[in-house]
Amino acid sequence: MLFQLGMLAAAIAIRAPAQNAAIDRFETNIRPVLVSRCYPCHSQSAPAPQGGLLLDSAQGIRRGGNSGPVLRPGDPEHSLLIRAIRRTDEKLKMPPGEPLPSEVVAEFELWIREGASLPPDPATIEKRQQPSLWSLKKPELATLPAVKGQGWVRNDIDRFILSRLEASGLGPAPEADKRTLIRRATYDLTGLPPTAQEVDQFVDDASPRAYARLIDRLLASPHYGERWGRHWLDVARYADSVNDSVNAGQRYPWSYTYRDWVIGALNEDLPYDRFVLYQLAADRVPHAEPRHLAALGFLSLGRDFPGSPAETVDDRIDAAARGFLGLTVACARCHDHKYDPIPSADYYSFYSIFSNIRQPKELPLLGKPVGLSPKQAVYQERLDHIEQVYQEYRSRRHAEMVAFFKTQMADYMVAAHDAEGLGNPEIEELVRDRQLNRHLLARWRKYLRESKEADEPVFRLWHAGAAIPAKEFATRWPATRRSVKGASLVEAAVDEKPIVSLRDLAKAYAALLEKYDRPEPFGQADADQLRAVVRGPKSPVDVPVEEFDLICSEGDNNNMRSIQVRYNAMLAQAAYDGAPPRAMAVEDLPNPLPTHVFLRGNPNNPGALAPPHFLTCLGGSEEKVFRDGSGRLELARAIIDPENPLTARVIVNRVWMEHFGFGLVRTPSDFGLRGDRPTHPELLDYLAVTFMQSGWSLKKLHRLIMTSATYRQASDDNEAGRKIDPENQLLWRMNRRRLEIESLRDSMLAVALRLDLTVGGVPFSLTAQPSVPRRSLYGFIERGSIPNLLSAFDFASPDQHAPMRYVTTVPQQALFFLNSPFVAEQSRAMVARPEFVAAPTPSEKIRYLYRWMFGREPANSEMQAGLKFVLRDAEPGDRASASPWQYGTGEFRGTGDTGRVESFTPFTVFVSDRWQGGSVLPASRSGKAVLRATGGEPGEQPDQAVIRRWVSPVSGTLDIEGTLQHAQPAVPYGDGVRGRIVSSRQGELASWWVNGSTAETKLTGIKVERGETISFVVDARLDPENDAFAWAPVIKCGERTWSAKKDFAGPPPEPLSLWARYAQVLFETNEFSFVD
Amino acid sequence: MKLRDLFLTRREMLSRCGMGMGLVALRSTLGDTGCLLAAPVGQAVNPLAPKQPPLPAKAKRVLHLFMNGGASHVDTFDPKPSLAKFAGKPIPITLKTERRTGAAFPSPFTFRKFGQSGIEVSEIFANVGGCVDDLCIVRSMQTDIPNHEPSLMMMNCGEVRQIRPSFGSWVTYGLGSENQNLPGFIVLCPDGLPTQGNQNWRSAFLPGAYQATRIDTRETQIEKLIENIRNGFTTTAEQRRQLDLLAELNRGYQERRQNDALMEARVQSFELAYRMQMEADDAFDLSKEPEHIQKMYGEGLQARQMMIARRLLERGVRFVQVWHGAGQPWDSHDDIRANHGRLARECDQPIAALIKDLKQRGMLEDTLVIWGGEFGRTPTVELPDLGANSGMSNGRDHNPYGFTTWLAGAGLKKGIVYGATDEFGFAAVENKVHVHDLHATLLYLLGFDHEKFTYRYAGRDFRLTDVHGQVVHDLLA
Repeated sequence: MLFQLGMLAAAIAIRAPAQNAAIDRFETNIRPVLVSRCYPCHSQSAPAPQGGLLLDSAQGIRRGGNSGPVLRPGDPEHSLLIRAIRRTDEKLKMPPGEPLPSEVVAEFELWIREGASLPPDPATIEKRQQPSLWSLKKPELATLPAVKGQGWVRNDIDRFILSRLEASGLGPAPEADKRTLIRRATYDLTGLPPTAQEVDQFVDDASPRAYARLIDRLLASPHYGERWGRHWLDVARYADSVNDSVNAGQRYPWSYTYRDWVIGALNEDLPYDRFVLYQLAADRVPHAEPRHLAALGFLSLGRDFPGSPAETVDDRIDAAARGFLGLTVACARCHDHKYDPIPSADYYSFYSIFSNIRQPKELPLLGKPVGLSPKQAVYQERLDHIEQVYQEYRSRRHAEMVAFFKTQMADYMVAAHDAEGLGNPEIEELVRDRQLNRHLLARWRKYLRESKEADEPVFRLWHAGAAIPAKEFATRWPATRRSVKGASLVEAAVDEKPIVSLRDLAKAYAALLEKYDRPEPFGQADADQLRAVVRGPKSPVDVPVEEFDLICSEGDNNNMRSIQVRYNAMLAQAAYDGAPPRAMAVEDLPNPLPTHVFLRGNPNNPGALAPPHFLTCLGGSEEKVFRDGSGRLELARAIIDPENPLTARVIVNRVWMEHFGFGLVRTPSDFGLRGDRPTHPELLDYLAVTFMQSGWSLKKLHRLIMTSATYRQASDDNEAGRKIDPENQLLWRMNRRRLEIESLRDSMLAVALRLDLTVGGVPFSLTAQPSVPRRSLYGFIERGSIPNLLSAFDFASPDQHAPMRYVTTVPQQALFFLNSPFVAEQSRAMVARPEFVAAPTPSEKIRYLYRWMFGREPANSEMQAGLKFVLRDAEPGDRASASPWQYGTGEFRGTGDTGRVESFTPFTVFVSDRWQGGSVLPASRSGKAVLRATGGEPGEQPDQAVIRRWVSPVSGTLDIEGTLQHAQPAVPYGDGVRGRIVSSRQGELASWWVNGSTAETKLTGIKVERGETISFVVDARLDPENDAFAWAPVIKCGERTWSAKKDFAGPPPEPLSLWARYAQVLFETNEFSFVD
Repeated sequence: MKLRDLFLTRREMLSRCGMGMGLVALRSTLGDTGCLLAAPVGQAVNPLAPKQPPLPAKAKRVLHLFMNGGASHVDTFDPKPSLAKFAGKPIPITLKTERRTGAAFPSPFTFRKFGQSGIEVSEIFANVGGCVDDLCIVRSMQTDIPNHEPSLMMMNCGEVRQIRPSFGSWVTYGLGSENQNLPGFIVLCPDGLPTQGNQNWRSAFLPGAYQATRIDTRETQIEKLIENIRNGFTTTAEQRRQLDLLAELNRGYQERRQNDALMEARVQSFELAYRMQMEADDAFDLSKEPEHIQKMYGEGLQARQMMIARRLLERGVRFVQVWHGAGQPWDSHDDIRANHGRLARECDQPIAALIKDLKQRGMLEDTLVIWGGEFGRTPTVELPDLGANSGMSNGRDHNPYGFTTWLAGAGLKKGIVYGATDEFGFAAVENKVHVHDLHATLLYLLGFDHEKFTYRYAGRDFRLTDVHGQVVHDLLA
């Protein structure tokens, strides 16, 4: 209790509480108003700061403006600021526009009355000075601390840890036993459990080198890259789809090449600086191997925000800044970072870098080009077809839109005139009010301006008319008309009707131009001059088809998007079906666009120019502008520069976190003022410096950490430790950890001997049943729709960069263990292992399970509990009584009462709502045949008729009812289907042919014997196209009814054997989920 | 003990959550619920354990009826006789809409006065009209953007584009849930997902425990409603034996691993899950509703949904959001008469029944009911867009400038209309209520100061209302 209060006091003591509250008030109530209402004119980033007043820093607020100080702390009544916002002074009413609400004014008054507390100005004050933020000082090797317990020390890490422990009157925990060590190390480095043999071998190896050899072996395992790759994918917010995917069009076709690149890079121990470099700029690094282009997925696989590119860019900035640098640069989007020395201009400097990139038209092939397989050739054909549909749509609609715009020429001419001298917002309004197209108006404005400058005869009259003020037009026009000589055709047209307004003049022009709108040139100079206004490259209305996106309607956008979605879906399908892998690369825009600061984060409110350069707090400046393309390569180099104090610290901290459960800095992606300070700053620096000196080798870092005595401690509780350091910040023991969901799932597959250890490849479905036994990290990650299994177990959301995983405990996790088909499946597989089956006695079997699942022998009590569980009569399962319905394919031969179903092959796979002959259609045996609750579709061949079979559980008289239906589209094709009811004893009972028609399939008084089958057979007839049908018969026998629709179900779950239930309990234990 | 294992350890509480309390206040408030002080330092706290809000609260639970697609206010709760006068003529207000709209388009439905308050409601919501004396109708709602996606995000997450936690996630984060055998935040939506899918109820940077569990209310089988709630291979009795063995094995294992709260929490979670199987069955079994109740709700999917919603609220689920259906059903660009008529027919009786039912059970007093869509619709007719819609001129476009949301229940005034749109219903002109203000008000009723109810993430303290929002005190009883 005492300690807790102490903690609270420490937390508060950072600032005097009263002032802290006042500053909080400033931050919550005052600053946002300043930002949104005052910064546009009174900040350093304002385009034209007004009155010498800067309100974006404490210094500026205190100094005031040209009229002197704006506030008197404690005295709102005599503060200029208050007078301005109260608007009581005729000459001084601020801010412009809507007055501040009275509540806001009251907040300002209160703030000033209470002393006008202001937070310090980190960004501005410290910009040019020695940074005070600890993480911005270069890491330095401190002298190794002296320790008393020399005997415990295995390497330098231990000195840093032990000296702190000793200073606190604590000591380290004893070394963990060998079984614990191998389990811990194997999970840490591979995410998999050690096999029983590996455990035995290690335990039996008495050599002092045994542990070092273990670490070496694990680091050399290809599964190391999988384990640590997954950690990195959290940092990189990796997913296999763009957004919430309601459809396959959102899948990234080759996202997996990035994931596999990460795995490969870690396995080959690619130096971390290169690892970072390639992910930001592999395409710009001279002489980089082409395979490294896949690394660019880091930039391309984030969320995409359609219609708001600023969000897409923000996501990249955030992932890179927090991921590599541990800085929350994204906080500086709307204003200078409130705490860290990151001015808003730095954000937009990054914005410039990350916005001036795009996806190349053709994604680069990874590996050697190969010819298209026949399957891929089909995909290509389909892709070409969709492309063609797309282009045709565009050209058709483009022509329609241009024709439409030609009916609006007068409107645009007038609008172009009215728009002169207006700012962008006003033009927006004009376009909206008059329902015009912005782009077309811009074209008209440009065209008319140029015609004026060139003094073209065609528009001379127009410009003369346009120069007359609107009110005087009617009176002054005749004189103007007389004094100006225009093109003769124009003069004639203008003189046809009386003209009293500029609009009349525009209409006269429009009517004239319409006459000269014809495909062929006239061959006369004056006529062709008019024609050139409406046709040809210079015409303002003849918009080239390339610009269609700018003139199309909302409906067009939707239509084109849906075609693109189809295209993307097909592309992804091709990729998932073996199309050669490509890198999800990016490239710089050929002409990078200059970026401005967006005031208050609003893209429509550009401020000062923000040239690309590195963060100012890390030595970047406008004098050191990046000049190579978007600046990505220079940025990457600045990030990995050994002089950069953050990069190495951030990654060694992440590695430490994954080994110990938390980092030395416990906010691993925030090394700023609001983040945590390191618990062991000298150790962090030692690791960072050693890491860089070792050539940025992650594997050497793992080795260093894992061979320390600190890492090898047991995780046992200890009262002194718990009292003095309850959060184990000092590491008086190892932290016990719960397995992440990936390791948990992989472990079950592994011990059940089902795990497929293939490294890399296209994603599989984590929700498929039966389960796909691949490692979990290869599961398809749909951003925004994470499978429940993953989200229930705290999977890192790929929406944003994830600094670390939460660990929550919710009952859905337990439900997964208790009831999921996956755990049942592994429990069955566990007790189907040959050695298990071969084990002669129940105790041998239990021992076997313990050895494989926990790497140890069962204790006597555990053995007894297990034996008690399995050595009893199994209770009868509550499995539903066997269904009388069967589903499959076969062939009907013969006629009438000699007719029989000659063959019946049951369907083997149940997919969501249907039975079919294989997980992929067409299936080898039954083709495209499927059966659903209410109908189905036969295969093409005669022996692929679909059969819904009912095995009579009774002897008696049946009535059968039903409707066989076949539908034809507007343009019919195929020849319908034939339906038959066939008894195994009595032959064909009836048959119907439906083709775009319906048949009542009613039979009464059919006598059946128990065990006799009644088959509902549907075949394709001669033409196997368009054969989907509906037929859900109902069978009645006395009071009892069997309905094809209601009774329809997938395969009944197999009951678990007693042994399998026992194995399931072992999977459920804490021991299986935790690592000591 | 590993720090990040412990969701909401004391330390995390102190550093992350700003529940609108000073640190000391936090200590005492949570101390009451046993979340903080009762658990020794470093102990796990169940993320869904019920918590007291920092301020006195009127509402204990939330029911959000989402008319996705954007119900038209001028055809439901905001009568505009001027539209009839201007029928077929342009109105003097032009605001940017997503598509082109033309002349004034009078509602094809008639309005009449209901209840003692005499508030006018459209004939298509006659049953809800019957409850009008319990409603607090806000006719001056505003949002920012006339497109579904951003407006759905605004209404549900308080931000148009960036990924932010949903309102329901915030509420379950702040209050936990009263029933540990059911998810704390449940979304009912039949037949597929609405536009923007799971984003509408995601927890974003809040822990996944606060994300909604979405249930397809077309399903009637419990195993299809909640994943892994049941299996076909083990009897309940047998499962009990398994759990007993599990408890025994865990006990032995933990003897050598004392004081590990996370392990203990995991042991408890199995017992919870076991009980949840029964509870979930019961919660979704509508056959247990007596006939007169079933009759009151009527037939069909909406009736089914509303009954399930009540059963969940009754069982202590903190936040229930009911969507009309997949996609954006209320998005009547064409044929308001037919489409709005049909949609209202589907849900009018069930919604009215739900309000009456909550009331007769005394639950309306502390349940916060919200009805509305992501925006309203234009009072002007939508014009056929070249190449876009089906060419009819009898629908309405999106309208973010003014629309109606009604509230009912806990701590709200009854039988009142607040705010107003202009003469035609195009824009809110009187007592405007932005979605941020609505959120601020709802949080207030739940016992939170929206400016102090924050979560530290990526270096920033995030709020549901971002940097906006004012509590609308005039709505409060």
